[in-house]
Amino acid sequence: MNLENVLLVSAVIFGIGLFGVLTRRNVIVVLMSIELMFNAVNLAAIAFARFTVPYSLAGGPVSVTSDAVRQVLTGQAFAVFVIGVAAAEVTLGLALAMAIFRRRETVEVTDLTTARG
Amino acid sequence: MTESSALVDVIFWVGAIAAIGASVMVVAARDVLKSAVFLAASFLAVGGIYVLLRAEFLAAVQVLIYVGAVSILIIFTIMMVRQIAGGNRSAGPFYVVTGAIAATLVSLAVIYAAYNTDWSDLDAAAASDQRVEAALTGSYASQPAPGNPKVDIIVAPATAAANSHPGVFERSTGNLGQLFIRDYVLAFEIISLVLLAALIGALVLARERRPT
Repeated sequence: MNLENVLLVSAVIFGIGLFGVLTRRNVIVVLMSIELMFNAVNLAAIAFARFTVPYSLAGGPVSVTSDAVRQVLTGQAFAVFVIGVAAAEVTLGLALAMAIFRRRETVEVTDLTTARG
Repeated sequence: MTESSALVDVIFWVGAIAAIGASVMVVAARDVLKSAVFLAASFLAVGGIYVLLRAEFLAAVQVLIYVGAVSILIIFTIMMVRQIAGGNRSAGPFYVVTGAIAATLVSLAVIYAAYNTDWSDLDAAAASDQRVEAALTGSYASQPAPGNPKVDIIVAPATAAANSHPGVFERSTGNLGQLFIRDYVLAFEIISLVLLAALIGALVLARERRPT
C-alpha cells in the first residue's frame, strides 16, 4: 500500500460515481453516486495525510515543533468537514426528492426540467 | 512513503476490490433498494481502508455517519416513496456513452497524475529526518523553545520514557481534536451552523402540506 495505489482506488470510485451522476435518471441514485464521489475524495485526502508531510517538515527542517507536526493531520480534518457537508447535502437532497415526488409524482431527473412548482 | 507489510497489502487490496465492486453495483443494480444496500457496503469497505491509513477516528465516523445515518436515511426515503424503488433506469444510450467517456477520462487523468508525480520531496521517509519520522509514527521527546515557552521543539526520537510523547499517528484522534479547537475553530463552528440550517431546511421541505 502506497500513495499511488490509494489514489488509484480513489480515482476509480470517483469515476464510477461520476458515471452514475451523468447516466442515471432516478434522483435517489444520483444522490448516492454523489456520495460515492465524496467518499473517493475523502479517501484521497486521508491518503495524502498519511503519506506526505507539509513543505515545512520535508527536506530536513531546522526546527520541528509539535504544532508543525500536528499539521500533518490537516488531511483528516479536511475529510471530517467533507463528511459534515455531505451529511447536510444528502439530508436536503432527500427532503427535496420527497417534496418533488409529492407534488409531481415523479423522481426522474429527465422529467424535472422546470423550476416552477 | 510505503507501508511495507504483506498483510497490510492483502487487506488493502481486499478492501479496495470490495469498495470498487460495491460502487459498481450501486450504479448498475436494477433495484434502487439494492443500490442503497451496496452503498452501505462500499462505505464499510472504504472505512476499513481508513483504518489502514491510520485514521481511526475517521473510520469510526465513517461507520457511524455514513453506514449508520446516511444509508439508513436513503433506505427510509426509498421505502416511504414507493415509486422510487421501482426502477433505476438509464437516461439513454447517448448519455451512457458520453458519461462513460467523461468518467473514464477523469479517472485516467487522476491516475496518470498520481503515478507520474514525484512525491519524494513531500515524503516523510525520504526526508530522512529522524525527528520527523519519530514525531509521526514513533515517539518523541520535546522541550520548550528558548525564548518562547509556548512552542514545543522536538529534539530527538525518545529514548528515556520520562519525557516522551507518542507520535502524531499513534494518537491521531487527540491531535485531530486539538487541530479542530486551535487551527480550524472557525470552520468547525461554521460546519455546525451548516448542519443546523440543513436540519431546519429538511424539516420545512419534507413537511406534509395540508390543504387549507
